[in-house]
Amino acid sequence: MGKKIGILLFALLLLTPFFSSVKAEDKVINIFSFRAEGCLYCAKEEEFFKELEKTDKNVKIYRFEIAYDKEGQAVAKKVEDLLGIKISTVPYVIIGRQSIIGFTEGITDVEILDAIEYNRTHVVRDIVGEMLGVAVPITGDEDDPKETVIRLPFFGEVQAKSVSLPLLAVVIGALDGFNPCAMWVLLLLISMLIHIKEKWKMWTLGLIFLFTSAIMYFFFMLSWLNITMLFGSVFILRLIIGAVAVGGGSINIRNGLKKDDGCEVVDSTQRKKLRQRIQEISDQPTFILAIIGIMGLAITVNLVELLCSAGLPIVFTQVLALNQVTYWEKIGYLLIYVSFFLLDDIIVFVIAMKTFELTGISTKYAKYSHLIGGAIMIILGILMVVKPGWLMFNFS
Amino acid sequence: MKLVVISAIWCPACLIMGKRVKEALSQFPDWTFEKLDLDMDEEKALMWNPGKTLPVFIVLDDEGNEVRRVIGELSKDRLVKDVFHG
Repeated sequence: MGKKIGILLFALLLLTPFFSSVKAEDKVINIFSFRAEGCLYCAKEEEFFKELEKTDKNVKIYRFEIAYDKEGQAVAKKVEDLLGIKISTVPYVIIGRQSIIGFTEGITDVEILDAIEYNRTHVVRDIVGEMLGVAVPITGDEDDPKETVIRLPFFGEVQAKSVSLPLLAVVIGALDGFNPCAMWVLLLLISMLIHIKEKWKMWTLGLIFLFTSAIMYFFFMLSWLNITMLFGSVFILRLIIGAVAVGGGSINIRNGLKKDDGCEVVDSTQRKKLRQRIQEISDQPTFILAIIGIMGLAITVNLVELLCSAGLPIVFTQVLALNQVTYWEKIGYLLIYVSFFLLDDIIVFVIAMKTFELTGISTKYAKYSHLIGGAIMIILGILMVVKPGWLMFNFS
Repeated sequence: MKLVVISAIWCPACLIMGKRVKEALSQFPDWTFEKLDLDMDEEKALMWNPGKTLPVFIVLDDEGNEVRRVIGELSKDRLVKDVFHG
C-alpha cells in the first residue's frame, strides 16, 4: 500500500509541471489604452479591441480617457513619469514595455497582436500593470526588450534606435545643407561684408546671420514636430507627408540627373532687392542697427528658402515624432540636424573670412546630395505609409 | 581667340571655375579674356543672352563672332577640351 502511494506521489511530482505551468495562450496580457473622446482613430481601435476581447479571453484591456477625464489624465501622468514618455498622441497603447501609437487598420492591429504574442512568449515586466496593481511583479531576469540590436566595433551591442536617429539627423541635416537655395544669399552677403574695414564687425555680422538662420530653421522644425506629435498618428496626415516625401524626392532626383552642372540664375529683381538690403545694413549708422538688420534679413530669407528644402526637415520631424524618445531627446536630434544643416555654410564663411576670398562648394556635391537626399526621401515616404514600424527602428 | 565668361559672385560653380579658367588660360597665352558679372556688368552680360545657368563660357573668333558656348561647372580637362579646343 505504502509502495503504491509512493509511486502515485512520484507520478504526481513528475506531472506537477504540466499542471502548474500556464500555457502561453493562457497568460493574461494587460493592455493599457489611452484615448480621447471624439477621436476617430480611437473609435476604430476600440472596435478592434471589442473583437479582440471576444476572441482572446486572456487579454485585459484597461481604458483611460485623457481629454476630459481627470482620473484618466492622472493615470497617464503617472505612466509618463514611470516610463519617461509623453502621451501626447492618441490612441496610445502600452503592452508590456512596448508603446503603440495611432491606429491604422491592417498595420496597427497587426502590431498589437505581435506585441501580445511577444509578451506571452517572453519574460517581460508589465511595469504599468505593476504600478496599477493589476500585475504581479516578476522575479528573475527579463528577456531582451523587443528592440532591434546591432553590433558595432568598439561599442559592442547597441539598440538600433540609439544609433539610427542621431545618424539620420547627421545625414539628412548635411544633405539638406547642400541645398543650393540658401547658399547664394550667404555668398552675396560675404561678398559685401568682405569690404568692411573692421574685421570683427565682418565676423560678428556673418555669424549673427548664420546663428539667426539656425534658430529660424530650428523653430520651424520644432513647430512642425509639435504638429506631427499631435496629429502624426492620423493616417491621412502620414499619407500626405509620405506623398510630399515621394514627390519632393522625385524632384530632387530629377535635379540631380540634370545635365548642366551650374547655378540656376535667381530672378534679377530678387537679386537687386537683396543687394540693396545688404547695402543698407552695411551703411547703418550704428552697429546695433546693422545687427538688427542682419537678423531681419536672415529671418525673411530663410522663410522664403524654407519652401526650397521643406521636404527633408518635414520628413525628419515625422520620423522623430514616430519614435518613442523623450521630448528633450527629440530637441537634441533637431539640434544635431540644424548643426549639420549649417556645416557647409560655416565652412564657406570661415574660409572666406580667413582668406578674404570667396570659395564655392562644387555643384557636383549638390548633385550627389540631390540624388542621395531624393532616394532617402522616397524610401522614408514609402515606409511612413507602408511600414511605419521600420521608422521606429524595430525591424522584427 | 577670345573667351568671355559670364558669372556671378553668388554662384558657387562660378567661384570654382574662376581658378580653373585662370590655370587654363596660362596654357593659351594668345587668348584674350573678359569676365562679366551678371549683376555688376548686367547690361553687357545680358547682351550675350546668358540664359538660366551660370557660368557661361563664350568663345569668340578674331572678328568677335561667337564660335561656341559651353555652360556650367566643368572639370579642368573638360574646360580645356570643350572650351579652348572645341
